[in-house]
Amino acid sequence: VAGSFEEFVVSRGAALLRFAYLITGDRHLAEDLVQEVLARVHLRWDRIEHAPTAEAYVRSALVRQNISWWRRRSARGERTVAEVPETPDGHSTEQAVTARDEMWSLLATLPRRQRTVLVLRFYEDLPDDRIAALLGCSPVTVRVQTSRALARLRAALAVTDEATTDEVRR
Amino acid sequence: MNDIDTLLRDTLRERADDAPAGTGLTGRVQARSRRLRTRRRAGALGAAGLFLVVAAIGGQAVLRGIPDGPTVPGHPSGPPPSGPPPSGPAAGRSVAPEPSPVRVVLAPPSYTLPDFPFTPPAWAAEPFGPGRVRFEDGEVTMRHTAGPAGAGSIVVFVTGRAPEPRSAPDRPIAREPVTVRGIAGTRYTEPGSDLVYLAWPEPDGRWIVVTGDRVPAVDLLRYAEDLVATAVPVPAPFEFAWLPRGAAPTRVEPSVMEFQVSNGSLVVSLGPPVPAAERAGWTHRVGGRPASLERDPPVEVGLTVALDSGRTLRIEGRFLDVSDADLVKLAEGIRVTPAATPGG
Repeated sequence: VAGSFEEFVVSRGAALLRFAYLITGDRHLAEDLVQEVLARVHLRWDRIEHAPTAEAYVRSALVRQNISWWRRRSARGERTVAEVPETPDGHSTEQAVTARDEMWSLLATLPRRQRTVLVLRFYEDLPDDRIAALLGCSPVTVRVQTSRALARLRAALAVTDEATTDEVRR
Repeated sequence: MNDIDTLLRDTLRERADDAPAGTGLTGRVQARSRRLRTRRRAGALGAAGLFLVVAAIGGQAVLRGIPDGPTVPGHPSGPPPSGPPPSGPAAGRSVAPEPSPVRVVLAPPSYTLPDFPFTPPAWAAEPFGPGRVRFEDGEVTMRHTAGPAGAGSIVVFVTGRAPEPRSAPDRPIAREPVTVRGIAGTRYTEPGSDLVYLAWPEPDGRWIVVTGDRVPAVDLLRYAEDLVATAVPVPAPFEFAWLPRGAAPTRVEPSVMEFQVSNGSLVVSLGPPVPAAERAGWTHRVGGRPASLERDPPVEVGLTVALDSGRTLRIEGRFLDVSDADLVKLAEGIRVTPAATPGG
């Protein structure tokens, strides 16, 4: 049972903000997204508070709100791969940091649904059936989206690696 | 688990630490919820007098001004989650009625994009990333949001009306008068928040709102003072020979352009390469290039074209009734501009 709305926000607000930030990639938008969804949830909290799936409902609303791009009024869009930072030579720790920066930039190039699937799987560690429930699609669709997203990331990373190798050869 | 999986997992875990702290979140949510309730009651009554009240409290102009807490001016107040909590696989589906698809008739484009009225100071690129002009929902913005991890960010909005800040009861927004560019303006801060806002009116009646996330107030003021009154055009990544008649741009970003077409929308974007194995199954042709066309009637249609550069051109229509032939004609009339590929 979720308890009072205030308790819910205090106990789960930070986690919801982290989730929103990872699926949007934008601190401003994440904050706005969470506020908007929680404000609307607040209006019907009496129907939600005793449900064991209250948090799942809120996360589902966050995902839905973020993915409904056609009604979105302002947000970061997909980026070109040309904005991906170059991979420098250097110490392995620096390389690891750079690789994570590069991966973060590449996530911004993915369609929102694919990015969301990756966050749910690799950050939230959810199985396909629960991701499917959150997104309102089938587990097969989740697997297809995951596969496509990973293939895009793999291909983009390969392009960056080739560009770096060419640069080194010159 | 392979290297990509590990890198992805590590990246997400690391970046999660950069998420907003959520200080004062409860108060801001409660304040926003009260406004929603007020708007819904007023909407149900439909009285002209109440409409004026609602417009003053939560209307478009106010939403575009300084919001309660860290909400960015101009950010969405989008669709509500509808219905009861989810209890099965259908959880997450909206029950809101969807608009009917709009019959598309292609015509030469007729839109003009406005300029951003200032050139940002060169020094801002180092801590906050280079300024990028975007067109978002009818407004031009300047965004410095590509700094290194952990760095602050600045977003500048140009709005038509004076901002109207709204405070949560437990987190009152502090206002203090400040002179910006020789003009009387206001600085807004909220205890416990990382965001600071500066707003002032321009002589032409427009209001400039500079928002700083993790930017010291003194640096934000310096940024505003150093803005040069030389307009910067919105760099459009695409040029079009054809668009749906009546298409009006709502979003222009380095690799994305979005148009509203009546109740529908059209998004054109430049994406990363598609793996050869996936491309092998593409049977359509656009200007001789392989393309993939998918339909999810009656709502969505998508056309992906493999460009000579290796990247992909993606066209997505939502609530548009457009034939395959017209979709291909539209795609063949798109030229990718140099602005679409920074550094390229």
